[in-house]
Amino acid sequence: MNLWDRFQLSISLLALWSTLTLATTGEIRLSLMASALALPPLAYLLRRPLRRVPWWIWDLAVLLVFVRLMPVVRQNLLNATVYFFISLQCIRLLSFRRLSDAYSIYVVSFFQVFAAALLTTSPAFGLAFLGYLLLLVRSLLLHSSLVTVLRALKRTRAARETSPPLRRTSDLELIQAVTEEQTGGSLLRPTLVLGAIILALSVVFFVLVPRLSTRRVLQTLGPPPPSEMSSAFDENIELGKVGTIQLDTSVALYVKPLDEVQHPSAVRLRGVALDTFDGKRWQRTSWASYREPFGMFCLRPYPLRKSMIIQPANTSKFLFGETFPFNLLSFDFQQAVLVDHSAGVAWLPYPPTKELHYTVVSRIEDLESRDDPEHYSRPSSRQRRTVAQAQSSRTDQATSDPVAAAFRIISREFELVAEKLTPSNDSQQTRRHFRHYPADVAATRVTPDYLFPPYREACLRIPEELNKNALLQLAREITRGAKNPYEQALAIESYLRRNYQYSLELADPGTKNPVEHFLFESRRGHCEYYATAMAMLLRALEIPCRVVNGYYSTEWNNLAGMFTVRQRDAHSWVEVFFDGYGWMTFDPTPPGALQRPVNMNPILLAFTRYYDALKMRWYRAVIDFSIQDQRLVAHGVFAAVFAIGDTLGSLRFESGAGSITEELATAGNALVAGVAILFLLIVLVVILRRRLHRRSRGRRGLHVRRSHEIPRFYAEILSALRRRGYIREPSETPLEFATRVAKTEPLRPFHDITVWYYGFKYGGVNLPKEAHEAMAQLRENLRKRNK
Amino acid sequence: MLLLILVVGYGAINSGTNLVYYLFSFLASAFLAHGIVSPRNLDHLQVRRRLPRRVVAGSCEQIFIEIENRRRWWGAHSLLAEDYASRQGSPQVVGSCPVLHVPARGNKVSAYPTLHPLFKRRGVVTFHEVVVRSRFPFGFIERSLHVPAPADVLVLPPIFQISEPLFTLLGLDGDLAAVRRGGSGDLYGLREYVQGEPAKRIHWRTTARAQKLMVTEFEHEERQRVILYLPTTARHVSDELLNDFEHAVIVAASFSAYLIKTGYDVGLLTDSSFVEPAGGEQHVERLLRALALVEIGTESSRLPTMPHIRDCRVFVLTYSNDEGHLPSDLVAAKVDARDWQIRGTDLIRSVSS
Repeated sequence: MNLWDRFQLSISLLALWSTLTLATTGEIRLSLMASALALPPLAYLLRRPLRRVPWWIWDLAVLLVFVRLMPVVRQNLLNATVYFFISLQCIRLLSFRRLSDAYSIYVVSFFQVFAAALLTTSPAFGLAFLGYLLLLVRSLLLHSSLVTVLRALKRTRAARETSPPLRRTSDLELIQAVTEEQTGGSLLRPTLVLGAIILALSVVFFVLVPRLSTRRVLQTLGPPPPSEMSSAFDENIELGKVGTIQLDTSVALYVKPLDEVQHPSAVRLRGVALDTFDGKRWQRTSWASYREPFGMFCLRPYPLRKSMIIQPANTSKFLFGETFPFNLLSFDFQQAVLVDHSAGVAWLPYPPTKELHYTVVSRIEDLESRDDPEHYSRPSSRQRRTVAQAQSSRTDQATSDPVAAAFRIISREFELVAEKLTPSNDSQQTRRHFRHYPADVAATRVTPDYLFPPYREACLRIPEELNKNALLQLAREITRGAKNPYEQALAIESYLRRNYQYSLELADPGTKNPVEHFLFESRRGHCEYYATAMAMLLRALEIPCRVVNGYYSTEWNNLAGMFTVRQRDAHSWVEVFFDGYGWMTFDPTPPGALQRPVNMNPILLAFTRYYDALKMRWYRAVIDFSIQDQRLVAHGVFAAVFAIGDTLGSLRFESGAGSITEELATAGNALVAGVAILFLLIVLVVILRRRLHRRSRGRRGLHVRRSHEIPRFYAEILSALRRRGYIREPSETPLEFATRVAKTEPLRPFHDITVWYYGFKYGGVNLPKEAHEAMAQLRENLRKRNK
Repeated sequence: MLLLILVVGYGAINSGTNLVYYLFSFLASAFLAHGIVSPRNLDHLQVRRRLPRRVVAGSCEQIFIEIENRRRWWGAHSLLAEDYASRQGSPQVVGSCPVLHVPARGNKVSAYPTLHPLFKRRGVVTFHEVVVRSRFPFGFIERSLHVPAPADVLVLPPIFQISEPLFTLLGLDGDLAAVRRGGSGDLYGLREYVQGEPAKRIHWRTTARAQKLMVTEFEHEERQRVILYLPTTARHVSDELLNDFEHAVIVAASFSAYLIKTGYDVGLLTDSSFVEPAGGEQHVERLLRALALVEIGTESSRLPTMPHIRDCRVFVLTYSNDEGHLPSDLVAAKVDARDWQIRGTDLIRSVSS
């Protein structure tokens, strides 16, 4: 294969690979992808007949594509650009006959990879990029060789006065004039070495480049939001739906704790909070929702972070976070996030069509270590005054826009809550979750202690079709002896856990309401029934509460250090509001029912976990790499340098003048000590390398393997002789010099060696084996004598 | 490339996407990697030039450039060797040849043809240096290695084949034949037939055996001595005259080679030099070297000493109508001179045809 064919093959592979990289995002139309993937091999196979097509036909084709795509530009610029570049790449591959054609293919292929980087966060991109890097390096190396050949040939032709002027398609003709030996040699080694260098350097750059983000322009290039879609976790969910979801074993999302010292035994992910129940379905009342432009929807950051990867199998538009309102970090969704502060939920304008990655900060509420809200101190007088002001201003503000007014009030209430509320007793249980924060911050509650009246009303409403008296009677029976709402809630939770049986197979309620059927007759049901029943009993006791849908998973992946959350982990529980405290989580479902073993082939399960681990590392090291991580790396480097200094400081090298390192340590210049050690190490490595080099040369010296080594050997012999005082006079020929030197017995072979060398150097004579050995032996003898 | 880096950098900042940051890092690294690797590609290279044994003006010879890589591990890639030479002005590239791969501890030879205009005219061409250029690995920046390699090469005048009709046209056929007519005696040897020789001297039996025309030579045949006189002084030197002079030099070279092949001893006389008549291939080379260095001038000089000029036939090559007379010294010597009043250009046309 000649140089040009090698280059064309490499370019075709590059185009194919970049298109494949873009195809992995799943964002480009399949028909276009199929043609874009089929064309590079086709263009390579048909390269000879295609060269006969006039060049202007291809240029015309580019123009036609451009005109055809003009209307698409108005609809979606990103798509139109992608389509245009893919078409351009196809045309350039088909018309490939000039080196300049390669430039457009480089640009287009890079643009495809660039677009893929914008559209995906999958680890498959990492692998695809690695392949792209190697192919690009190889293509550029071949390109460089071809440019060299072309420059030489063009110069030679230009020097010939009789040569015809160069025509447009002359590159190929010129290259074909290249002899077979000019194939450029093997480029595998330079490709791999350069690829490794670039990869290593780009990792360093990646870590060091300051992270800035404006999100101004590219936001507008994204696809328009589709119409509202219904999903499993919606703001309007029918009773029993969660039970259906629990039959699905596909992965919904991954959760990686980032701050916990030890991984928790389970993760509870809060999705949507539903406040209104009509007897058959739960709904979320939209009290206040607004668009947060940058994906932030909490007023304060909270201590514990978790990395979340929502999978496409999860069709919910709600964002999941742990237990209570949270903060989003490194959110990769280009659109704004909708937020309802009263419900403490956030969601996207439409469900994600691809994998979605974000980090959520939240406070974990441990159900086993809950504390009575009564133990918390009441708000200060100033806080109460602010609340009163908020309440008084509510009426005025609600006149113009009730939703906006409600939001303003709620946000002010959040500001109140964000102030420190010190618990009356030192709650060790609460504090043990937090690693880096003092007790007062750890105890900061994240929910408002004041409930907006219309929302409170919604959280107390019992549907008319339910028998309120029966509910109240049962609730009173259960909560007999309870002193306050908290104890009442605990009693109901405990009662349901103990006296009801968990089952996904439900008996037909007939004409009866499913909740009443569950409470009074069947006593069998799944989490949704448990949660609804508890909510109704609490509401009968005039305790505001709501049902929360989300996930509860215990599937821990040791390799990845994360939870795998499947659809079947869908779960419902209850949040109860206590005045002066806020919302608290209660889960009436028996804990045993939440332990669900994975029924999967062990080999497949192991493979899946390895893949998940890889995926999580990719997200942690690349996708989620933030300015905080940059700081951590910088701290790590400095810490390492100072650790070297400290280690040095801890050693004691006693000398006559006292401890050497003591002086350094007392001077506080550990950094200098570290650098000094590094320098010494480098010097040591250089010395060792030289020694090894000499040794290897010495070993090789016993036999001269290649003919081109002979002049070097001869020069070394001359050099060794010079060191022993045998210097050739300017008037002496080498042979005269050899005759003089050979008079000394040990150096007698030097004469013969010189004669052989004459033959080799000037007569083109191959040296016999004994000549090689004699040279090596003499050089070795001279070296030993010099020592 | 820098523009692309800036665009991607802007894209990274704008989108805040880490993968775009990575692409930005990749581009910057590629640029940096080029900066690191590029100079290393030219380290420890030894460059040598091998000139051909003889270069004839207008012919295509190969000049070899040998590059030796003394690195232990890494090969050298995508090298372009450019050879710089001049006659009088500033050095210019006379040839370039690609060397795509030189293995570690190995060497590679590449060659370029002598097609540059500098080699189209006889005379001395002075080589200055070989410049090895490389854009390895990615072609962003070019690096070069300048290797001084001074050398001179003498470009000889070309030799055209003398056609028989021209020979007859000049009236030489009969004249030369008459010289040889009296020759007889023992057979000295056989040699290849040269165009213009009488057909009777062809030895047909040997010709049949050798599949080419062979002629006989006799022992006692006296070798005739011929001197070609090429005037090198003119009243004024014009471009046209220089052109004609060049053609006259080519005619002189062609005729001397032809005459020597047919058995004559040929000498060369110019206004500043004299080459003794002699025969043989080596003498042809000597004459060509002398002709390669001949230059026309306006200052007249004394003719050099010509010891045996009376035994020679002298042919005067005039290349311009203005120069149609013999120098006075030559006339005084009463040489048997024959003046060819044929302009060099016409002669060359006839010769070429």
